[in-house]
Amino acid sequence: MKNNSTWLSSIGQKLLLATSGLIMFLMFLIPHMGGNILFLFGPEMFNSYAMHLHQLVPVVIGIEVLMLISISVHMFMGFRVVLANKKASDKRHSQKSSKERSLAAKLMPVSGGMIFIFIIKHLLDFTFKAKEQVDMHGHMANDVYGMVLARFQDPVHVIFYVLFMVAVGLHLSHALQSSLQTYGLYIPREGSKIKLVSMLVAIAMASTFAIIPIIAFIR
Amino acid sequence: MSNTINLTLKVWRQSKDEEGRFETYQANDVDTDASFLEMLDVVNEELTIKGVEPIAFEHDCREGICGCCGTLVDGKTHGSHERTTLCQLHMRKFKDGETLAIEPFRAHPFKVLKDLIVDRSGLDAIITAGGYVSVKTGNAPEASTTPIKKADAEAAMDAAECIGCGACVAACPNGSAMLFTAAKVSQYALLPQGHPERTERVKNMVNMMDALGFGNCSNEYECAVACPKGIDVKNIARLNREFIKANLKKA
Amino acid sequence: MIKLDAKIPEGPMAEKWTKHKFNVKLVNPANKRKHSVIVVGSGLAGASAAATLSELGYEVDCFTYSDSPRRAHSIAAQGGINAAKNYPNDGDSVYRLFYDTVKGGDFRSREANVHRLAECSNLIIDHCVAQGIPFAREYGGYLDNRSFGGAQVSRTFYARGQTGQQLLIGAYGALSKEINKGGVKMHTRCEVIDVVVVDGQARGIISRDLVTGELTRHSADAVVMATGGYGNVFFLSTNAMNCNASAAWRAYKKGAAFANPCYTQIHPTCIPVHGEYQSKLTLMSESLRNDGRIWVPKEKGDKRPANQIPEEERDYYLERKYPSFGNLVPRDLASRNAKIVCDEGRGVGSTGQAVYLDFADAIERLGKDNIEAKYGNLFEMYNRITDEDPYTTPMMIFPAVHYTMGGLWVDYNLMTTLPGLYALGECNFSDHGANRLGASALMQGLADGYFVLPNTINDYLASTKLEKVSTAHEAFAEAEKHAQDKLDKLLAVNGDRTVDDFHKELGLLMWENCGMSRTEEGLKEALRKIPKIREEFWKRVNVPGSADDLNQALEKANRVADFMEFAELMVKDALNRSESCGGHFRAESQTEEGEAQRDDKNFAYVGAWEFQGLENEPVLHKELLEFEEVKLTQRSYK
Repeated sequence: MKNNSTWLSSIGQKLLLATSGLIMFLMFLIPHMGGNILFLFGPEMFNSYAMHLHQLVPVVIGIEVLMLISISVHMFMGFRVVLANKKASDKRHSQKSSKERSLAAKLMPVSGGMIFIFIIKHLLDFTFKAKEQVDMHGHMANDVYGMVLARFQDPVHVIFYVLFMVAVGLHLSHALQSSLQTYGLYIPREGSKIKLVSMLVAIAMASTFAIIPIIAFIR
Repeated sequence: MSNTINLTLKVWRQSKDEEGRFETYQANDVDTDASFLEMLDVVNEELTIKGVEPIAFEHDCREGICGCCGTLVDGKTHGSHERTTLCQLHMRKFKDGETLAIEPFRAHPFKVLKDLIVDRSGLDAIITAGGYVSVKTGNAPEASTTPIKKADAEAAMDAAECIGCGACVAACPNGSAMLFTAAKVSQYALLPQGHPERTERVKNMVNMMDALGFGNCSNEYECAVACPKGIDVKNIARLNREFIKANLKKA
Repeated sequence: MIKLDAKIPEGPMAEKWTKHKFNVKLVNPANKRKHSVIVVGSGLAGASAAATLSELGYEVDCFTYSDSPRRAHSIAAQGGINAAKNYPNDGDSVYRLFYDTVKGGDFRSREANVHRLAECSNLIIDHCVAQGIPFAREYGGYLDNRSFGGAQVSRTFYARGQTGQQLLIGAYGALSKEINKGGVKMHTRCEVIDVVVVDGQARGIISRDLVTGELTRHSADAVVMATGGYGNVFFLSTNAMNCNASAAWRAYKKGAAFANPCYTQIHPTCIPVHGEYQSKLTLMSESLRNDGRIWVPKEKGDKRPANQIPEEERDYYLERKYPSFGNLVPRDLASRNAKIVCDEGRGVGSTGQAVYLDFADAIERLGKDNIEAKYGNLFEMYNRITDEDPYTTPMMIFPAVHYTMGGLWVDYNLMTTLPGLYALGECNFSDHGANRLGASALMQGLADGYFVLPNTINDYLASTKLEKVSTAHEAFAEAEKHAQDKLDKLLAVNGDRTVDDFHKELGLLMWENCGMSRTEEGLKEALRKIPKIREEFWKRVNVPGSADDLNQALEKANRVADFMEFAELMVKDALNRSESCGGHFRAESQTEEGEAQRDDKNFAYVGAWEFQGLENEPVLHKELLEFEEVKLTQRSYK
C-alpha cells in the first residue's frame, strides 16, 4: 500500500491548497486591492503609494517570496488534486450534477488557470515594464498612475482585465467557504451565512479590481 | 391508483474484458406500483425468454437498508434525490414514454464487474483499516457504566445510518469517498468508546481511502444530496478536524 | 443411522452453562493457531463467530455470497434486541426472559438452550455498547428500553428503527478488525455450494466464486454454518432476495439432521401483495398494533372505500374475539385471523387479500403530531411503497412469511449430527420453539456467535483426532464434480420457463398449502405436486449465460433447485405434526373457539429428519422435550 505523508494525503493536499490560497488572499490580494482603490483618488495619491511601497523593500521582497512559494504550492497541489480527481471519477456517460454543485466549484481549475495567465500578463504589463519618471515634490518617482492610464486606453485590455476579474470572483466565491470547510468548519448545505459572505466578498473584490481599468479607460 | 406506462431503457451492458456499451430495451406495460428493481425483473424475464442474457444488477433486501442496489438513472444516483435507494423508488415517479439511461455507479476504484454491478470492496477496505472499536468479545464493562449524552448518541446514530451503497462516491465529481469515511470516523469520534483509537483510526482510514484511488473532497456537497440516508456534510467537516488534530498530535 | 444426543449438561438450570464451560475441553493458546475453522455466512451469527474465533487464535475463513459482510439480511431487523438487564426496574430477570421465550415458543424449544440464551443476553448488550453501537439513550445518558410482544416488561434495546443494521455493522467491525490483523480471511462474492465430509467428519467446503464462476476447495478442522433461514421457499417473504437454504440443505444431504422444518413465522403486519411483478414483501413494525385498529367490512364483497363504510358496518374482529388483548394478540393469532376474514371474502383492496389497520381513532385521541412522532418513518415508508397516505386512509396490511424457527438440528454445543459441523443463528432450530418472540432473533444470532460457539467448539477440536486433510482428497474431488455437474445440468436444460417462474409456482403452492393454516388434505396435495414441479423445473427451466461468468440466473437456479427438494421435507414435517403449535397451525387441531390446540402427549418433541437419498423417505428422529422449569399450559389471550 502506498503510504502518503500527511501533506500528500487527500486531506493534507487540500489543507495546503487552502492555506496557500488563504495566504495569497490575506497577504496579497487584500493589500493589493487597498492599493488599487487609491488609484481612484488621482495620480498624486497613487504614485505616492507606489513610492512608499518601494521604500519598504525588505517587506516587499518578503511578501514576494511568500507569494512565490504560495503560488507554487497552490499550483502544484491544484494540479495534483485535479489530476487525481479526474482519474478517480472515471468515465461517466450519463452523469448529471444536481443543483447543489455551483458553477464556481465546477470551474475551479479553469478559473485557477485563467488567474495564472492573468498574473503573467499583469506582471508583464506593469511590474516588468520600464516606467516613466515623474516629479513628486522634488523627488523623482515612477509614474505608475500614468502607466495604468496609458495601458487602459486600449479597450481590448479593459475587456481582458474585466473578464479575468470574473474568474477571480468565481474562484474566490468557492475558495473562501471551501477552505473553511477543509479546516473543519461546518458549512451547512442550505442557508449557510458563510457561503453567503464568501460570495459577497468575492463579488466585492472582483468588482473593485474590475472597476480600475474601466475608470482608467473613462479618464 | 395503479396505472401502466411504457418506457425506453438505455442500459449499460458490459461483460468481462469488454468495453461496454448502452443497449436499448423496451419496458412495456410497467405497473406504476412496481419498484424500479421490479421493473428490471420484468424486463429480465422477457429478455431470458427471448434468449438474451438478463441485465445483471445488484440487489438484496429491497427495503432500502442492505446497500446492495444502486445505479445511475438518467445520470442521478438511485434515480432521484429524495433519500431513496433504487429499490424504494417506484415507477409512479416516471412518465409514460420516457427514455431512461441506466448506468453503473462509476468511480476509478469501482471496477465494473458486469453490466450494472461494480466492485465496491474499496469501501470495505476503508473500514478494515480502522472503522471499528477494537474491543474483544468478553472485554466489555457493564453497559451502563458510561452514560452518553443523548445528543451525542443521536448524532453518532445519524452518521451510523450509512448503508455503504457507494452513491456518494458515484455522485461526487471527484469520485471521493470522503462522506463514507467521514460517517464512520464521526460515529466513533462522537462516542467515548471510539476515543482511544481516534488518532490512528482517522489516519489509517484516510490513508487507505487515498491508496485505493478515491478522489479529493472539493466541498461541493453532491454526496450529501445523493445519500439515500441523508448523511450530512457536517461529518466531512468533522473528519477534517479529526485529521488535523491527529496530525498535530503527532507533531 | 444417527442418534440424537442433545448433550444437555447435568445440574440445575441456572448452573448448566457455567458448569459446562468448566467441563468442556480447552485448546491451549499455542495450539489454537494450528486449528482452522470455516464460517459460512457473515450475518450477525457468522460475523460474530468468525471475529471471536479469530480473537481466540483460530485460523478462520469466512464466506459470503454478498459483495460485503455488511449486506447480510440481519441488517433489515427493525425493532430491537432483548436483554434481561432490568434497567427499567420492572421485574425482569434472566429467569423471566427464559420463561417468556419458552412460553412464547409454545413449549417446543429446548429449555437448557433458552436459559443460556437469556444468560448471554446481558453480555451482548455490554459488548455491543463497548463496540460503539449508538443505542437509543434517555436524557440522563443511560440506555433506553421499549416494549415488545409476548412480554410484560420493557427489555428491548434499540437503535431507532435500524437495530439490526447497527448490530450487524458492529459485528462487521469486529470482523474487519480481525481481517486487518490477518486472523480471518474473508471470501466475498463466494457462495458455498457443498459441504465436504471426510471419514464422517465435516472437513471442508466447495465454494463458487460468483464473479469468475470458479469452484474452489477449502479444507478445515470444523465448519460453521450461519446461513440464515429458508423463508424464501415461499418466494414472497420479507427475506432478502438472495436468502436461501442451499448450504443448510447440502449439509442435510451430507448427514446433518434437519429439525422442525414446518415451523415458520408469519408476521401479521406487512404491506400486501400488489401484483404479479411483486418480488418481495415489506414488513411494517409490530409496534403499529399499539395504536392501529384492525378491521374489515362486516359484509362479504363490500368494495366501498374505507371512509364510506360506516362504523356499524365494520368488524374489528380482533377486538371482538380477544377482548382482553385486542389488537395486541401474538403474531400467530393476528396472522391467522386476517387469513380467516379474507377467506370469508371480507378482505379489502384490489386483491381482497388485505385488512385495514386504521389510525383514525388514535389520531383523534392523541393528535396527528403524536402519531407522527411515534410512527412517522413507518408511515413514510408505507406512503412511498403504496402511494397512499395512512394519516387519512387506513393502511392495508396482510401477513407474510418472516422467519423460520426450524433449522439444522444441533446439540447443546451447537454441533449438528454431522461431527465438526456447527449451525448458528436462524440456521439452527434450538431456541425459539414453534414461535419466535419479537426482538429475539438478533439476541440469538449474537449469543451463538459471540458467546456460545467460541466456548463449545474447543471441546470438539481438543478431543477429536483431526488428521490433516488435503483438498486433493477424493471427497473434495467428488463434491466438486457433483457441484459442477449440477451447474452444467442447469445450463443444459435450455427450456422455455424462467427460474423465477418456477420459484413463484412453488412459492404459491407452499403458501396455499403449507402457509398460515395447514390441513392434511392440503399437505398431501402439496406432496403430490412438488415432485411434479421439480420434474418440470429440470425439463423446462431456462438458465442463460455460462458457468464461468457472473451469472445471477445460474445462482438463482441453483438455489431454487434446492428449494424444490427442501419444500417436500417441510411439507412432510407439517403433515407429521398433526398438532397445532405456535406458527404451525393444523386446521384439524383447534379448540372449539378456533384456537391452536397443542398435543403435548404426542408431540412434545423436536422432529429431526435424516436424509436417506432423494428417492427414499427421510427418517424421523425424535428428541423428546423435557420441561424441568416451565409448566406446560395452553396459551389464552381472550
